[in-house]
Amino acid sequence: MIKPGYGKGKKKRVKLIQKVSFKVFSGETLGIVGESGSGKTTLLRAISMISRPTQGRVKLQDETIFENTKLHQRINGRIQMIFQDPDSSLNPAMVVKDIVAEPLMPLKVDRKKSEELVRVSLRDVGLDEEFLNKYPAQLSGGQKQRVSIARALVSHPLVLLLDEPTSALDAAVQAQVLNLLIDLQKQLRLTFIFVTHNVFVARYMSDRAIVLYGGSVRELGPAEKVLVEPLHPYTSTLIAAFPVPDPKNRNLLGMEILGEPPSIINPPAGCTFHPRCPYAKDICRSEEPQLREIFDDHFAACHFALEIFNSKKGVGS
Amino acid sequence: MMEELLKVENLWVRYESPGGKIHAVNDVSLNLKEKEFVAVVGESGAGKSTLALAVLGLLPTNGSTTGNIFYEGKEITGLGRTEWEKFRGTEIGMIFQEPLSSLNPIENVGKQMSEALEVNKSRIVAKTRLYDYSPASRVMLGQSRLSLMRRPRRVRNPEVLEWLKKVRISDPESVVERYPFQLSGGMMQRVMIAMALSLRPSLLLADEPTTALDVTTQAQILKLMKGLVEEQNTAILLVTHDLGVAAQVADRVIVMYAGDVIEDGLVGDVFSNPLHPYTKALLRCYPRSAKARERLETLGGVIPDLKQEIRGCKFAERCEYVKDGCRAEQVRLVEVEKNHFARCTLHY
Amino acid sequence: MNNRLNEFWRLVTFNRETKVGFTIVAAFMATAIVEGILGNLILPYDPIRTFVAAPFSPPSLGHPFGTEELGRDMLSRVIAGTTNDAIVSIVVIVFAFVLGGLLGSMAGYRGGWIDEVLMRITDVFFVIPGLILAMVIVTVLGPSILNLTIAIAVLWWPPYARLARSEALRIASANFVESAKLSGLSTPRIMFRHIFRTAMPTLLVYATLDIGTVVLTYSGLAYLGFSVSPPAPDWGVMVAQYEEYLFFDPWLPLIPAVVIVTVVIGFSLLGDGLKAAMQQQRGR
Repeated sequence: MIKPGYGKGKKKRVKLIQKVSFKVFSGETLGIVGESGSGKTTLLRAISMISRPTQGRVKLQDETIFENTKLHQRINGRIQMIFQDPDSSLNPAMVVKDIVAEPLMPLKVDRKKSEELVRVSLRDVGLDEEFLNKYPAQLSGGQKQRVSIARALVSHPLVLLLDEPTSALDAAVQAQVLNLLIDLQKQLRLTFIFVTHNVFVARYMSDRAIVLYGGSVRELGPAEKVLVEPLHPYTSTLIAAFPVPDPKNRNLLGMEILGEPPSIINPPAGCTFHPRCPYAKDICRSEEPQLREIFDDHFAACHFALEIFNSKKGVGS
Repeated sequence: MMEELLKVENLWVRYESPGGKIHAVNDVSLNLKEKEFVAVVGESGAGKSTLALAVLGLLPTNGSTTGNIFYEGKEITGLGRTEWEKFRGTEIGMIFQEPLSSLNPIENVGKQMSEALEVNKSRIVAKTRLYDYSPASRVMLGQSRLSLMRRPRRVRNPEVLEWLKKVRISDPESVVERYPFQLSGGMMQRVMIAMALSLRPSLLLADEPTTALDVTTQAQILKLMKGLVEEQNTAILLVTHDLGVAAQVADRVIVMYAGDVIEDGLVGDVFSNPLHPYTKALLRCYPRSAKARERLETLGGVIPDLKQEIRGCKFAERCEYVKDGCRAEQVRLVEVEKNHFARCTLHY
Repeated sequence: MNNRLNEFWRLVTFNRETKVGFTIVAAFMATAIVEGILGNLILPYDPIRTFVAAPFSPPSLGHPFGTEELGRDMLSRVIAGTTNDAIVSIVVIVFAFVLGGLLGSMAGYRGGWIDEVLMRITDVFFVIPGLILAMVIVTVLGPSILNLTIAIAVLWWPPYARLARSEALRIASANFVESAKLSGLSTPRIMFRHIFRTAMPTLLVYATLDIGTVVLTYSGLAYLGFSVSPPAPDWGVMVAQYEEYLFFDPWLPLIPAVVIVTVVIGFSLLGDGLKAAMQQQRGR
């Protein structure tokens, strides 16, 4: 199952995401790494048709869902989503049983079958019968996310979009939820598109990874290449900026990160990362780099990707 | 040259709630020296924010404390409101997680900083303008609640631009004219830091200052704070749930769990040789260079109900090393190796 | 079901205000229902029958509310008048709640031109003085309880629409609504299941506080003559009917007036108490 996407989202002349194209393969996890303003949430909302893209095409299993500003087919629960904030993910006035059963409603499943499916789904996420009649206010953050996951999976979707599902959770709970997601993926043969700003989580979860900055794709490829030996300077910066729990490795203090994320309304010319890039040259200020294949299946949008990479490796250019 | 800037002795904090008494902080003692960078680490509910608020005398009305807090040798527990107002901001400063709610939304940034400086220069309790929002602003502006309204002077304090430059804001002239909502998260936190430091405190308390920020911005702010310790002779007490943050910037780490201090030591010691099972387990929860998809170790269970009085070790339920003796009686904090303390029967 | 009853009881006995309020409201409603069903059977005297005792008798054991100018028993008249106020206020509130709630939810959720149109319509109603509008409508249609009810209902729904709309706006962007959209739920379904349902508690509290105001408004307009005419038993009408006797036989106009005020206060107390209870629930 291949799900290619090519989206160009635009709202009121402001380009939220541009020329984003990628494929996701059946059963894999595609990690989308980016910070705020990178367009990652917009991308997810565009793929799921919650807000329609301005241009482009989205295909699911070779069927065109959306092309050229028209919705060709409804998604009907084949794509589901898990959100970052556990509190606004569940209707506080509804009990768990009804929350999880909701995706089954348009499928006209009869009551008994529905109850059974809800039970199974809850069990899959590690919540037993006593949770059926609880209200969200009675649940912890981790439990709420599990209910969200149970709801997302009850109708056996093909693709699961995850928007920072564990960012609002404590470290211990995050680990539990991540492991749960991995187990469920194997068990139910799901395809994940996992958005996060945490490089390490992305590394842990993803098969392939995309790095987004200022609304466009900067790097794309296998996760252990992109997130461990990156080609694009932004990816390297992102990795280096991450606080590693190891006081002997204070990479954070060693580096100098310049500037701020780009303004969407008035982005810098050429490569929008150039004001913050330690390697920026003239061409970077005028010409926008295209996404090119540098190594096998490993793409980067940088004029000097190969040179920078080789110099870091200590190889002559 | 004094030895201890901040000394907390046997601090207990309780909150009254409809469901019962919440034991937020239990018998916590800690010391902080000049220019020391200490991180208080723990997950939500550990009591770390409560501890910070208690040190500043900013607990809500349903909170009560026992124990003593000393600053520069003087006792500051139970200080009256007026004394606190002279004290806060200029001796101990504070930065909160959400800068938006700490700043006045209808005044530009420069004016707010200016006023903070003015007020503390004159220290006149009456006749200053009153803002009715977060504790942070009262901290920053050192104001009394019983003040009258006064029109602020037009003249802006020139120090304001200096301080904005010190927090690496590249164009302070334009930032100074902006309103809080026009600034990004990172920028606002820099402004908060500038405002806090402009009052020249010797101790800065920061409660999750970078949690709401992007990774790259967080890195910039943390580096900035670390640098300021040297430049401004300020000690920092940083409250965070992120072990990574603590590892990168702190000199010393204090780990809290369910209101207790369970480990206290130099950052290198705590991370290379975690003595308490909770610290060990927590470290394992962080995905690091774990091979993609290799199982991440987790820590099962939940923190105990803070409304209950729990006998013995609060972590016993979830501990992999638990023995009978753990639940019998209160476990003491013991110095296991030089300057490295842990509260666990393993080290008795 | 049991759970709901428990919830209800808890809310109603939340504090002294709600207890007092609820007692008054319950008495009011119970009287209205019983009287409405059984009619004059339960009354000690026929409310219209004249000269059941000496006219202008002050309150006494046999006639706790005294008698009026033509010897009619006041107690019977007051009890008989309960149904009018009760029916009018309930009909108006239900109408406003349903119409306003649905229109407001839709406007808040969908936005666009529906929202614009609704906003302009409600603006118009806020500008026109309600009472005058009601009087005009009744004048055109003719004075009767039905027409007065229609008149009040027509001007009563805009605040509900506004309230529902603001709740809807707040909820429409919530993640669980997006999740419902993804699952393929139809718009009406999402509106009921999530938008309207979450807005309901707020609307209900407002409605409870509001019923009292309808009672007051109806009684006021009845007093002015826009409803039935004497000797029909109706609180507002009675106040007008006996106004001239205020200094000689004060119980005649005062008793209906006090009853009106008590009922209004009862609803007000109940509504306030409910609001406090809701806030406490939400705040935690």
